Amino acid sequence: MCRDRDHQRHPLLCIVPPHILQHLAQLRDPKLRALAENALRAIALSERLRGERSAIGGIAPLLATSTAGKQRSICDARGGATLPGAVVRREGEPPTADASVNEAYDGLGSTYDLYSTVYERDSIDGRGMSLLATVHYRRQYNNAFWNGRQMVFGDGDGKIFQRFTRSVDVIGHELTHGVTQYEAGLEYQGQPGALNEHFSDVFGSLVKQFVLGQRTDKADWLIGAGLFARGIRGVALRSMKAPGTAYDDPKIGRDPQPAHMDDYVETEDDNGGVHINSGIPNRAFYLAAMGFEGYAWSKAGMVWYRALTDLLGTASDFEDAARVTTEVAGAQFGTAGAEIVRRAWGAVGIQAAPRTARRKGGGEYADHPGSKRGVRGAAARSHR
Amino acid sequence: MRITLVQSGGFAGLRREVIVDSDRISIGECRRLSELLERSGFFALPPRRLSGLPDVIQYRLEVDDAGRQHQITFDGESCGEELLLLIEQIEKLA
Ligand SMILES: [Zn+2]
Repeated sequence: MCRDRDHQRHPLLCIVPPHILQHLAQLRDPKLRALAENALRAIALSERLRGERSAIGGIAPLLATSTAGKQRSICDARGGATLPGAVVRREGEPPTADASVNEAYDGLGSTYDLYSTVYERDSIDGRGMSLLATVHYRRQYNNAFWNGRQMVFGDGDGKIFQRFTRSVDVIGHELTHGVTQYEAGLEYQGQPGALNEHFSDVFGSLVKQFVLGQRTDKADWLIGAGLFARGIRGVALRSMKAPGTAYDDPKIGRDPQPAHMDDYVETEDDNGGVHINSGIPNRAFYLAAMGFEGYAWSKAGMVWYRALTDLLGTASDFEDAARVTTEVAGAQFGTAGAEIVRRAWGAVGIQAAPRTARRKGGGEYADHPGSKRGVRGAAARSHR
Repeated sequence: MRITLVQSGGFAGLRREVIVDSDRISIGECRRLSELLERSGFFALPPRRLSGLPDVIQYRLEVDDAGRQHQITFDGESCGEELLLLIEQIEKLA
């Protein structure tokens, strides 16, 4: 059986105080050390979820040194719904005869590499969490998702979709949902939900561009290219460059994504249109990347990564994202950088209004540390 | 009996609407639907139960049956297998 170590119960967690755990984590006995390290990780996570960051200050450096780098496990649900299923390929093992298994393994590796190489992030949680994916989930299952602990991929029904591991950006997309869960924690509803989807599309596309070594102007900016079964009229599921143009087919309808706030879709379906309205920030990112030129992951990607990991909070909306990415671009790349990002958001109908202006206008976000809503404050950032 | 099923979300974000009118299906198919509605306890289910997990497929199911009317919104990871069987059966009739 393949089990996610990070989410098992920790026998040491309830009874042993953190300073003893730190001592245990430095011992030679690998079993005891692993147990203590897992318990420390769980403490760090629970502290972060509660926003009580000060308590982990002393533990953080230890955790940073206790990681094992890239650790992938691919499991096979064999058409069932039980997760994670039987482990079929572990880190370092050779390819199997199953294309889904190998695609998932390689895609997780590429996503890990982008985050590690470009953003110096060690895995989903930033602390070396092992990467777990299950393939062959249910039968003819037309979907892929992140269940809060792992990635899950269906085979597709062969009529509309092929297997979901075929596109590396799908794998990058799902893994990024994990990163968002550990960072901004954007709630999966309405505009924060559409931003959650947006960040997954951004880093999904960047993984693909990174693997192919593509510059901004050479990339296709498509999400899910190659997933449609033969006969479906469409190039992909979404286009970041031209939202609303990815497919138009009698069986599945037309790509519903708007490219501008004027066409924002109000709906109760899809958690308030999270996969629909993400088209708006998606196009803003594409425009920003084109403005910066070169490799999209280096400048535009860096700005978006900082916004996701340091500045945005659970209830952040499009205007919050526009403001903080413009601020980060200004801090990292000067006035010209801020101008590129401000213009990109402006082109999709979102003004990057300065923080003070929004407050005067009765902005609804709370801006203090520990807040579950809005944009994270400076005090929260200082612990990171 | 009239059943409306709207599927949305999932990684693909595809929207699909299926309407089943019991007058237009066989008695056997209608009985099978009624049986699955009873087994899943549909009319007593809360109107909204979502897992909040990203990319899971969302369903809105509305049933109007001889004066009894109920609508629920849920997703593929927040519901039991009976409800998924019901969805599968409704989709077969589309
Ligand atoms: Zn997603």
